[in-house]
Amino acid sequence: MAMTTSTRFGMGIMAGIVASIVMTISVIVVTALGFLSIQWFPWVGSVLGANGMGASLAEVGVAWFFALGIIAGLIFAFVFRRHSVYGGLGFGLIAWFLVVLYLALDTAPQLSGTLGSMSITSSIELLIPLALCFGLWGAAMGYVGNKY
Amino acid sequence: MLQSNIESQTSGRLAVDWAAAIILFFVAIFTIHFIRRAYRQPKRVGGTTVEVPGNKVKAFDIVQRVFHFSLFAILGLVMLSGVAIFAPGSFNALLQAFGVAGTTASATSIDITWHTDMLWLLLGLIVIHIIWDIAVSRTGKTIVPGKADVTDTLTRVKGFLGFGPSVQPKHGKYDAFMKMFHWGLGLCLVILGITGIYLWNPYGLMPAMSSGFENTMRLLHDIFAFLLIGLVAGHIYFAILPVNWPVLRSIFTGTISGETYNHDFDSNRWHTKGSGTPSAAEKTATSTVAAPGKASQALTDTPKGDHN
Repeated sequence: MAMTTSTRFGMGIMAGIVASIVMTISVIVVTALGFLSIQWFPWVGSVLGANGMGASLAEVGVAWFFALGIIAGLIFAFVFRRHSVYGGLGFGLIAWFLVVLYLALDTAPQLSGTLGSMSITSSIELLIPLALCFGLWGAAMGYVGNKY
Repeated sequence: MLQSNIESQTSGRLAVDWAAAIILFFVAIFTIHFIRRAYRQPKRVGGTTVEVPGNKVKAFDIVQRVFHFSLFAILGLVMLSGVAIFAPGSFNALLQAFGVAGTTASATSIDITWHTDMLWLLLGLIVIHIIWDIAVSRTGKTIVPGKADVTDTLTRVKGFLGFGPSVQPKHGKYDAFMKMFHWGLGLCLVILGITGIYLWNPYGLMPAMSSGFENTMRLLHDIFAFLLIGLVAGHIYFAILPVNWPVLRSIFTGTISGETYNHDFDSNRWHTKGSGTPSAAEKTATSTVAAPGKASQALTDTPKGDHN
């Protein structure tokens, strides 16, 4: 049975929120374990143009992160005809690739340069944990979409 | 004025031993429950089976679901930062991703910023929750305790302790324990809010406190904070029990299946748009069903499991 627009809308919002929470938890874990070399939320805040230090920067980062997560959820809900965990993983891969693209072209606070100018070790230490987090983000989105 | 002096925030604190005792108390309850239910599942009794058009019953609308997960995220941040303030330097690793770093003093200062800033969002969420459920979706009554909840609880506790038949009466949208959780959460948040405002003193609004009064406020804040952590842990424990997965799924999708509705819920106590009227066959079948409150005497369906 085809999903109605309102069902897709609800699904997109829920998928976005749940995926954001799952990725937040995974970011907390990989950062606490020392696998991620940047502080994710202050980094997101600074990349998206916020100024300030510590908590205020991170707060802007959290707000942007959840807002973009919901927008991504809505895109996932309306663009994909069927929703599965694999589809979500693919979507997460696209999101991760966009971050990689940004890092290849521009630098950001907490980093010594772009992916091209940083050492391979530094780049891998940044990209692998992020790939894991975005993978879980996409998988969570796909799972919610699949169960909806 | 926001006090960032660590020493001033540790005087009057709940002793770590007592904090651990509160957490262990909840852990003991969950352990006993898990072991007990591993051997004995109660039978579902009572209720009236109805036809469910489309085999779906609407349980939560999109606003209620967004509220639930927003509360989860915000309360999680408030609790994490709160525990980091309670035991400075111990939990900061979990908040590194949120910009908490540096010396213990500077990290605690950022913890306090998170702890207090999130409260505005929490307050906003609670206001939206109250207005939405009472005035818009008009589902507020489903969480109000009634007499049947008392009899249901007695029946379930007796069965759990082995003093009566192991049965679980079908309930309304929320059973007695869910209602207790909800109001317990509300009570904790009110006391935490009042004591927290005194301790935080935003914009110098609160009157000057004696050190004894401040210590009392801090002690109450700590006790109810750990009770809140226990309640939230309990909520998550019961939610992830496999037997409760159909209900857990509804907080993501908004609906429960007709089978789950008829198995777990009493249509007389939870009327929904999606639930229909008893079929002719069911009318006959349910003529022997006991009234709510005396449901333990009637066994109408096969056991599947319990919610609490």
